[in-house]
Amino acid sequence: MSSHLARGSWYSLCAAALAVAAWWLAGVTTAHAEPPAPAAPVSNQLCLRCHARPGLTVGAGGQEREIAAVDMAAFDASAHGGERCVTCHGDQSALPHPAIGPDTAVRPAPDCATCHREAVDGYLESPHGTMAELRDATGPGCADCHGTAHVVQSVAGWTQEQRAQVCAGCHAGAGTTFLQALSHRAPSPHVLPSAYFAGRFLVVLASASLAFGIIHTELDLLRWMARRWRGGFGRRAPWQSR
Amino acid sequence: MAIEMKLLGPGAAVAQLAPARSSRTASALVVRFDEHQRLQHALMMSTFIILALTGLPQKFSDLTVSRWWVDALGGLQVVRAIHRTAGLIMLSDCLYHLTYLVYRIGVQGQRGPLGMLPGPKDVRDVAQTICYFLGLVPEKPKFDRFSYLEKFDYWAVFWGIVMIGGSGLVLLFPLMAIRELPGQAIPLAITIHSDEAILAVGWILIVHMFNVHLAPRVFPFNPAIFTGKLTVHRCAEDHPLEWERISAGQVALASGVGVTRASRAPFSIGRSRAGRLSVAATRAIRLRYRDLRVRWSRGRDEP
Repeated sequence: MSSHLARGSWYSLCAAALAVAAWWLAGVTTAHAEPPAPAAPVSNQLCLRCHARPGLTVGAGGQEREIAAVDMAAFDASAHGGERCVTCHGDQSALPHPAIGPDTAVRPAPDCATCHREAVDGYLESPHGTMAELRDATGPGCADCHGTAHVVQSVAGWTQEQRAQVCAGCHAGAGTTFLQALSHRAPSPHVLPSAYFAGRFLVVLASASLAFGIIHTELDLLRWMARRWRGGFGRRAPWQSR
Repeated sequence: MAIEMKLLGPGAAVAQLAPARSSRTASALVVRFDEHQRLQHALMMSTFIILALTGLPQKFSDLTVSRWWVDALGGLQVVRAIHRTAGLIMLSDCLYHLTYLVYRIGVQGQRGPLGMLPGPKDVRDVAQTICYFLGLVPEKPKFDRFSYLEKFDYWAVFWGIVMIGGSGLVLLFPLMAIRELPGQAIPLAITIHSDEAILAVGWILIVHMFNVHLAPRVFPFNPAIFTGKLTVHRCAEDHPLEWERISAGQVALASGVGVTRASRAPFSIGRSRAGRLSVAATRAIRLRYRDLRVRWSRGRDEP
């Protein structure tokens, strides 16, 4: 009986080994069948053959549209100067561009969070981020304050007046005092300390108050149940007529 | 038609309504809140619900349900407009209450509202209540017109109005606010406004609702803040010290406390059609609950 079982196990093992070998071989074969990956990323020069020439169009038969042109002088002077085009526009590295067509003329902007995760997280925590998350059309995105990615300048280089001018674009009359209101970093003892410590205090206050209230409620219920189990509610006060 | 007769007179007349006398007293009612207090609470309650329903989706804007709810209401700008309007009504309600207090205490010289001030008895009452819950003492403390939980509710609203209302005004008029305050006042106001709101909503949903409506002794609904009246046995049970004063004839007319006898309908809101419907619904729930309780006790008493 046991030898019968053992033989069955051997058959199973061999079958499994064959299946794994077949799967591995198929994978290897497929991998060899794929075209080799490009040896180096697409250079900016290749992109600029078309994207540095304003007025150049693509398409035919009434579906022509202008190719977005990049001012390379401004780009080189921007905070992103020196970056490769495909760092942000990685999905456009193949030719012809996969997304190009009349119905995808306006493509979504590259996701700033790929590189600026912390700043985007801070933005989402801010009132501006709330507007964006709740799909409010007036909510400012990254480019509305910082400029588009091709001309963006590091905020560290902005003067106070330049920053206030950006705020005043929506908040009419905003001055330099208003700048202290917004940070793309979560409050900490060093960033927005008043908001940080008020938040800590309120967390403690809310926890203590709610803990007191909930414990009070629970004890009230438990006491009632204990009285109920002892039959305490069978007796009624004289004015509680049935 | 007058459906109630105020018995605010001498002690003998009121003492007849003492809870131990007869079952007729079950229909006797004690006036607990006047029209102004009821209106103030109704405004506070309705604006609170609207503020919570329009404020929470802004605080938890990353949740899908928030996006769905804001879209359903017509977008963020609509939600903000509703939230701000309700907030301003709530602040007006607060001013109404303060004016009311000044008039009652300052002009009419009433001392009833002063019963809301906390005192050393409240600390003793907290300790005794906890000991009672734990079975260490046989009796609950005897509360006066306002128990410590009611005082906590009241002062929590006061604190909340100052914190949430004040920060809300800063957020409503940010540029005006930072003419006098530093720019950091705006993120500070955001923190206070949203964190304090969580405390307020949590307290109302869990503690206030339980103690006022869902506690076994009052379940399922306590209409006192809407009708302004309390049954005599409820008053004697929840506010024994106040009841002792009422039944001893020391009825403080000045504090707005009085006893009325309901001849037909105990609810003054029962005069309108909507009022009659809500009263009928409340009464149906109450009767059903009483029926269950009676059956339950019979089950225990007659095994």
